Amino acid sequence: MSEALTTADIAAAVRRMHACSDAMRDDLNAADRVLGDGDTGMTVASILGAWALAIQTPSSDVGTMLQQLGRETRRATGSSLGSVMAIGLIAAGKAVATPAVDRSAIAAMLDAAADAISERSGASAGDKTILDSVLAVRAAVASEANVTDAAARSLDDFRPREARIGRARMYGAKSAGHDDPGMLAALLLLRAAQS
Amino acid sequence: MKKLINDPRHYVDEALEGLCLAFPGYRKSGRVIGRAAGPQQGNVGVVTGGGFGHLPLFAGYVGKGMLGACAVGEVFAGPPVDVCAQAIHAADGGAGVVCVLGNYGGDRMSFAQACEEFADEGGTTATVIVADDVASAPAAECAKRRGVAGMTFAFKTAGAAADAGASLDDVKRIAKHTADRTRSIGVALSPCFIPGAAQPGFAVPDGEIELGMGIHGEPGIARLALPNADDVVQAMTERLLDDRERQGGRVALLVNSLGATSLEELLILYRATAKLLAEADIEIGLRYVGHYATSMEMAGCSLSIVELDDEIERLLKRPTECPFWPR
Repeated sequence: MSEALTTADIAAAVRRMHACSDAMRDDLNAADRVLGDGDTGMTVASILGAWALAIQTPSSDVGTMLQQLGRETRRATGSSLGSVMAIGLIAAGKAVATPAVDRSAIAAMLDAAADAISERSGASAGDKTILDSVLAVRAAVASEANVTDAAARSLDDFRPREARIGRARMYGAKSAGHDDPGMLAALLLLRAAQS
Repeated sequence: MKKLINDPRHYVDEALEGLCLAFPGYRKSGRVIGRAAGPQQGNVGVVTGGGFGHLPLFAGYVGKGMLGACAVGEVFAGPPVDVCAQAIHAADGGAGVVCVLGNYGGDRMSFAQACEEFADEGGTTATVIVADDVASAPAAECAKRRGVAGMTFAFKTAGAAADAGASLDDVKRIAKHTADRTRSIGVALSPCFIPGAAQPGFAVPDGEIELGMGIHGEPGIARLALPNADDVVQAMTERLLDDRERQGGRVALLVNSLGATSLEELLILYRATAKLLAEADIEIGLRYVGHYATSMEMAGCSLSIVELDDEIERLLKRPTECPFWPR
């Protein structure tokens, strides 16, 4: 990503993600049936539905747009994953200080998102949640690596580990060997955005 | 799974509409269940919220003397922030609102956001988290425990205190005091199906039970060959009593059905529990038997105890117009 991120880029990414919604829903439901109640796919599909509607109204700038998507996320679902995504989007949107959103601005947005998610949800780095995906993407942005590859690697790295927070924590050692549904959602969304 | 429902997409709203038709004390506005009479002006409001499929938990406990309003989500999925904010407004009588919530990440985060917005508008809130399920984390990590059937006790005492005109700080203190003195444990025999889903969210093999399973089918602490009722109660009561710091004393006991388990079975479980508590020199001051916190048609039960003191006992006994709390 050499040029600046624009609202048009985000709208196009949302459209691509929404186009993959059905396939994502089934994969995420399947992952969540192992460590949860099997509805992560429904949650993400309803969020994508809300985003697809929201982008029909143009936003003035990236920061406003991300906050709007965050509010739509909150309206679409009360699930933990949805809340975490909303918190991250709103914090990221608020962190946009300049009209041109370049690499360093994106890094600052991801920092703000990670801090807000950690503060609000109580999750820490290494707990095997979507926060770990955000941190991996943040590191990839800093080192100019591919963000989707980074999310995939982080999913692989965490798969053998035990979940330390939330509902998956109850599965203890049984959670090892399974993908965290939130981390998988992060990867599938990034992959779809770049499809 | 056979269910007497219509389109699964309308499951939550049709059930809530029926609730309001059957019991005129409720009023539905979107996904908020409030009191038909509105909030009591000048009194503190008590609100909660959570996923659907647990009736009478959560929305059923709205009524004069208990909750002011409840935010309702989807089946087993918490309500969005907007609905939480609407519930807070619906319970606001101008003296502040106390949110009494089960310890679930989504519900906590959504209500935290809604409370922040309410504060920006000049309102005052306090939040109390109920984490009563002793099976979900050891005593040293009791803040990680889930909220299950024992939440109803904190709803009742907080709601009764608010009804009596207590201040926001006092209602909060009473809710926390009750939550701190409440312990629950559940056992599941067979799963429930989310309407429209082809598969249950979890399975319990034939001839086995899962001790400590959560109200959404979260894994428990042990899977046992199905022993008789007395042995199940023995295993459950042991966990509850091991978790208490005190000996003897006086408790309120709730023997709760998770949905499919019959009153006959609950009474057999009550009989066994009463015997064990008597042996432990614990007096049962108040007793509740029936459907208080369910998971649709899940088979199983939970036992909850709250350590009574004069204040909690008085508030539990105070009359309420809620149709799901005994007179």
